[in-house]
Amino acid sequence: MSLKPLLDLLLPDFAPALIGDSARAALEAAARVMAPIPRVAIECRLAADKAQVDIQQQLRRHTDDARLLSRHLAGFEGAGETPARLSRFCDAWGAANTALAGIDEVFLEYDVPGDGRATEIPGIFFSLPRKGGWDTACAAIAILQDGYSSDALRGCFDAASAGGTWVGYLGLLLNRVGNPTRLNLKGMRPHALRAFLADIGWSGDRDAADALFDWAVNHVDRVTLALDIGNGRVLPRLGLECLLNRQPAVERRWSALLVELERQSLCDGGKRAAVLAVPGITAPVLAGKPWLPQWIARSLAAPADQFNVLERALYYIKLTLEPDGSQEAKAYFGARDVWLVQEQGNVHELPTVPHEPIDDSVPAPSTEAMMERASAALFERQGQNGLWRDFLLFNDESNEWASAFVATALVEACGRRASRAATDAMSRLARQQRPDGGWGYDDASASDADSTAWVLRLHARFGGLDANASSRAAAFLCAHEKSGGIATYRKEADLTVFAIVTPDMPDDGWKQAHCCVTAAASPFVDWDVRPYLAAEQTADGSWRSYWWFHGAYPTALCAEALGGSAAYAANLDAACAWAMHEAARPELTDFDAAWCLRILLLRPEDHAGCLAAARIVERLRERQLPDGRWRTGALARFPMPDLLAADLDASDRIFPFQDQHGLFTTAAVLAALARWKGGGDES
Amino acid sequence: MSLENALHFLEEGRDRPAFRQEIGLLSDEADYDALCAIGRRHGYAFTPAELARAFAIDWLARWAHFRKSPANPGDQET
Repeated sequence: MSLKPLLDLLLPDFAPALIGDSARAALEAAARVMAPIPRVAIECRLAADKAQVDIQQQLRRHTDDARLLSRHLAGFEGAGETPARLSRFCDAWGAANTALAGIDEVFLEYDVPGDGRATEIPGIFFSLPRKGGWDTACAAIAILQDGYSSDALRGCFDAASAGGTWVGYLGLLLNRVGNPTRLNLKGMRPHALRAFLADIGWSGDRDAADALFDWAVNHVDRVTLALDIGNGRVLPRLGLECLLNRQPAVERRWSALLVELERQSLCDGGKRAAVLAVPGITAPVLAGKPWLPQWIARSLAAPADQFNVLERALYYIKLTLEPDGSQEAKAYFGARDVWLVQEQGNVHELPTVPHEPIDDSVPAPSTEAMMERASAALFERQGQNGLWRDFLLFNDESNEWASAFVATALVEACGRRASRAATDAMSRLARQQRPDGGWGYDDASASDADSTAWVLRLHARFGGLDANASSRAAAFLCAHEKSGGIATYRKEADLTVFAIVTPDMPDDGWKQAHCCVTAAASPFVDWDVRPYLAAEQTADGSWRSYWWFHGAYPTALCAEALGGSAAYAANLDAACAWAMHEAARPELTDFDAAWCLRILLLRPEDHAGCLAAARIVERLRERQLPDGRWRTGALARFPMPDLLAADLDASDRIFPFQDQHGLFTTAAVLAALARWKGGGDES
Repeated sequence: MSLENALHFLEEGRDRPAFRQEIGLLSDEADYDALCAIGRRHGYAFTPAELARAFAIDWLARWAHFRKSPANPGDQET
């Protein structure tokens, strides 16, 4: 058995521009000596004159992979020391309760020169746990490499830890001259890179590294830093693995990234198009080649409504900065079997690892513990450029508006513990302020009053803008005055950046006053918006928003804007009565429940309201996900811009969109819990 | 040797626990020869090529079946 049948299924989806005939033949020759573990990554160089294509094989813990590889290596007895060491590593990794238990996956990286030379022994990469990574690394190295001098490696681990980053993978490149070690560092922030490189004695051009890293983190979701150690020191080469969370069909930043690389002559035009065409799914019926027999066997052992397919994904683009300042770009594709299941007319993927069983014996977490887990989930999902991304709208996610909202909630809930996250967010937002003084839905959108109001709310709580920036932002908001309230967009705003808005389309709907935007911006404008807000309240006590389906978010913001004034006490009473009624509805999302909680907290003297608030907190406690978030629940709407508020209920030209990552919901719940803790009662 | 035998083998393989257990023992080391040998032992003779073709047909038939199952009333109407 070999890996050749997998390549027969996979390679037809790579255009000749990406994998030429000789590279294809070399890959097939390499596959014949690889273990029959059908998960691979294909590494394609993107420059026009670089034809070599390499291949990696992925092994996972909690599968039979270690045993399969060990058995496969038995056929290489007498082929040198590396197969025997690798076999011992597999035996130790596959055993329970060993020092290697922290390794979740291993990659065998085969260089395939395509010049007739036989494929040699692979480089060995293994993942490391965030905690205890050094001990795991030492245990693995002790098996795989004799006489390893670990001083430089130790220095990198220490500097990483001091800089708030960690070594996610370690590679022993036993197939390269000098047996260098590769470190992949996760979570590096731009402001920490220079000090880290100095700490580890990196001798390359730090200005160039800084500039490239900063550019990368602003163009993709995650950047992993790759460094090599050889001859006891860190080598002056630096790689950046640039990842986007979604595939090219639904993420246009892949295309933008490749266009930019082509402009810099790092990517051939034919290869650019070919890269974007690879991702997809191969099903047996369209494969044109025999399905893998091990997948047939697994299919027979699975329920009949589960379907095995081959997934082809674009994993990342790697940019390498060479010591002479030149750069190289490569694309890495993954191929693996995934299982689809049809349920209720929908197709979804089965998780590869079973969910952890829920332990019902664990006592309900305290509110502090809920908030701790929620804030950790938000910290974890902050991009390296300091921004969060959420709310997928026509292939674009919000970064500016969503980030200002999330950071504001974190600062409110965590105070100084959110300082690093808020500093990173505000520092990036400050750099992205438009010449007109505002911010937008994302960095490519026209600036708007709502996004700008949330940046100013973050600034009011945390600071971070200089006096000039904040006054320009406030002036920008004041320029949106309309009918005593605030419009989301002003007359001259260009809305055509949104995919379905055309230049000749009327846009009065987006340029009328909106109550939720007015309330969010109310602290920063130089007139009293309260008469406008009071007039907008509906008979049931709620406010209806142009941009949101449910009334909880606008009602909370409007009620908070009116709070503190006896003149509007009746408006608050009506809002609280409405929130009491809404809070009893079982279908209320966690997002809307959080805003109802905030409304009820405006009347702490109301006993019935406090009881309703306590019930909301209990409900949120029960519904927090194991990873600390709450399920997506912020359901926004995108009306066509000509639709006026009065037309919304009767129109079918409204597109729903929501916080698909649940970050906006989690931030909203976190901020509401902070207010509950501030004046609430757990009893 | 026939495609029909291979299709029956796939059908039986899912339905009969003894079959499933025998196939399950192959684990991730299954190859076409081993699957053909199991088929022969249970009275179904087919070649590797026939099994590969039968699996593609079986996959498509199951996909169509579950798309049209009662859980998907919209599909049934169309």
